[in-house]
Amino acid sequence: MGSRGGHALVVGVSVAGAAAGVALDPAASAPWDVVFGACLLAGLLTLLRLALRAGARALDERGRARRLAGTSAEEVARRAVVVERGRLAADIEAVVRSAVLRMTASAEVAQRDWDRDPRPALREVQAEGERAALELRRLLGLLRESEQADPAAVAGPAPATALPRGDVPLAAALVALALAERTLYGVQVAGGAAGAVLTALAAGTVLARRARPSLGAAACGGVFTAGHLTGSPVSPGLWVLAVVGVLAWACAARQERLPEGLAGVVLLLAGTGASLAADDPSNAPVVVVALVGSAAGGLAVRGATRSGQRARRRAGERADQLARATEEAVRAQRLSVARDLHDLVSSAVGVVVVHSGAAEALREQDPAAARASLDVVRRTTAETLGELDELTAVIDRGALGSPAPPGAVEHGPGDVTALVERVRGAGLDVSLTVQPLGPGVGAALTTVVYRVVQESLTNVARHAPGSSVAVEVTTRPGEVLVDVVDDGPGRGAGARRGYGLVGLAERVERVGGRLETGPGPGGRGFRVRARLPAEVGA
Amino acid sequence: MSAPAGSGGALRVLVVDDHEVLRAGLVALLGAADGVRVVGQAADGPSSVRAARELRPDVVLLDVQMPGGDGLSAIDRILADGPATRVLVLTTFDLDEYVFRALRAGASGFLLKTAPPSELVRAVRACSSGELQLAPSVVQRLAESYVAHPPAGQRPRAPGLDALTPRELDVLLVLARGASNAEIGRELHLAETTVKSHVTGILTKLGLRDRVQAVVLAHDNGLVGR
Repeated sequence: MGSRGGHALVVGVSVAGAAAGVALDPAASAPWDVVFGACLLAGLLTLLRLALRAGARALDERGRARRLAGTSAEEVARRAVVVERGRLAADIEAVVRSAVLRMTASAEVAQRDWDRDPRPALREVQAEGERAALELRRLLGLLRESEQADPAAVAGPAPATALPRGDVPLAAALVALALAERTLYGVQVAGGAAGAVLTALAAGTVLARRARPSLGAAACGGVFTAGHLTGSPVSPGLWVLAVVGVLAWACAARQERLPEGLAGVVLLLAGTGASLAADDPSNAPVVVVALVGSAAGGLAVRGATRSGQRARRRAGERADQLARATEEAVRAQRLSVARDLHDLVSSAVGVVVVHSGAAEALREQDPAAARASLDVVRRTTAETLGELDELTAVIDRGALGSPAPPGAVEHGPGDVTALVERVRGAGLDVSLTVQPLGPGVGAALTTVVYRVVQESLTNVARHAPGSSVAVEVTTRPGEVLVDVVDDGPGRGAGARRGYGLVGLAERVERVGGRLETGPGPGGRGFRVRARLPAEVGA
Repeated sequence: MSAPAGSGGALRVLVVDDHEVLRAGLVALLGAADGVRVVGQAADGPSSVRAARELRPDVVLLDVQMPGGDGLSAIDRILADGPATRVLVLTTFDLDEYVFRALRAGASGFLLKTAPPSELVRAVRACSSGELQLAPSVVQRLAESYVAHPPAGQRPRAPGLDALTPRELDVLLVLARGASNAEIGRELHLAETTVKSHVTGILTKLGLRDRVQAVVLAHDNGLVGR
């Protein structure tokens, strides 16, 4: 239920209820009683609604905690490794394999042009080799890098302020209402200026409802007693019900320690009850009922909130545990891939560059040796390519049951669907909404879209096990928006960095886009959002 | 430089790499260059030490990442046997921890296996004349390597340091950040030739082979902010 709709419903039901009451018993009802009844009913319904909401939230948290408790760490780690392997295969494909492929092509050109002038092609091989080594070093460095805390992630939620916003306007409104009612019932009110001051003071105590509820309640009771004792009683009205209800609720629901909260309720009850019984006996029972009812409602909410908090703490601890298990498994996986990759490619790139240099240098003075060097270059690139394909096939087969199609470097939007399917198959709870990207979106951009989704899902698998993820790809005039939101523990459970997000931000910036990461809607979970500039076809 | 008769004054190079195909490529590449002669090859640390003792090369081109990790310990022994020999380290990646350990072990510089061939030849020549420089980024990582792996035990302060003039010490401190002579001159408002003579003075007083080792010594002795 939307909050605004909820309020409207409460008001509607209250007015209807009060009107019905008047209709049933017209003799006893003045117009004031209708207003009074409606307000009372509205208050009660609001309390009920708050209690129900707190209960629902607690149930939610408990459900999540149960779900996490029932998730096996091995299973979560396995899933994360599966997703990670898919990504590693894609990375190797995009970064290393494509470089080796270009070297192979240039070596073939050198072979073709051998009798004319192979030098440009040989230099191309060398330049490619240098670039490949740079990329490889970056990739290996990222793979081996231990996870470090993201400094931006350390900033926690803002500390609670002493006087939360919203309490001041509420207190001001109630003080105004109390004084207005005092004027309205002028004839029956005694006590003069002192009474007015005490009335305003009593209404003003709601200011403490969040910061120090018990103190506010005690003060309110005290002011009522003081009014009674000094003969300048606090004047009656609807505002009393509101103030007493708010404070009793706050004591029961919010006071840090329950005994203090209950003491606040008792002092409030004693102060207001005793004074009213003496000064305004006809209204005293209603006030007592409102006070006790609010306190009971507050207690119920307190129970629900506390149990929700406990569940959240349990869930958080479990999520941390799962994340640690996952971290370990993924790290081992990455190191093993880094080792394979280094063994396979690093020395091969060196061989290729050195021999293409030798081929270039020796071509005039020792054609046979030069030729032999070119053969080494061609053989090495071809072998490396084959071994790389084997490596990625093994990685990816281990992950998703089937090797990636060879040469599939570009990814279209259809691939995002396929990716999500595969990740679901690995056990992640993912929902997907993709708008067709349209004809104006180039291959480079679709690849970035794919990578954003892939990276974010990998991240979720590792850092927010057991949570559900929503993936959304939307096109807007001039931009493509990729949104991946999970309902996991957010920043709290370990830093959400990984080599992924850093590299991903680079990728997104390279096509002129922006990557934002942070808490999801309502401050819960984690969100990765990429805005990519695009000439989207109409 | 004591080049034996018959080498025609060419730079004598020993190539050490466990990867046979790569080594063959390096030998072919260096052999094709004017003024460079490959006098020997080796495939592991111990045999490189033996070969260096026998052949007295001007430059040893050495892969430090050979299986067994014996490239690093070879540096020490090669330099002990032949103080005039300079070691140029071969590596796949420039900012590897290996590189810094090799520099700290006395290597005069390093070279990427993927460097362009002309660069390879140039580096071998520069190394033999002690003119190799470290890029500032490398010096920075070298400093970090001292933080990550502090020198074992409390080493005695290098004796020559106290013999340096205040000006020479200034020059050493700037040099230790990877600055060239021209950059040092700009920073200290000195003529480049003056800087050059200061550097020579520093190397002589400290008994160092080249400026790379001066950088290492400055870090070793904690002269550069850590």
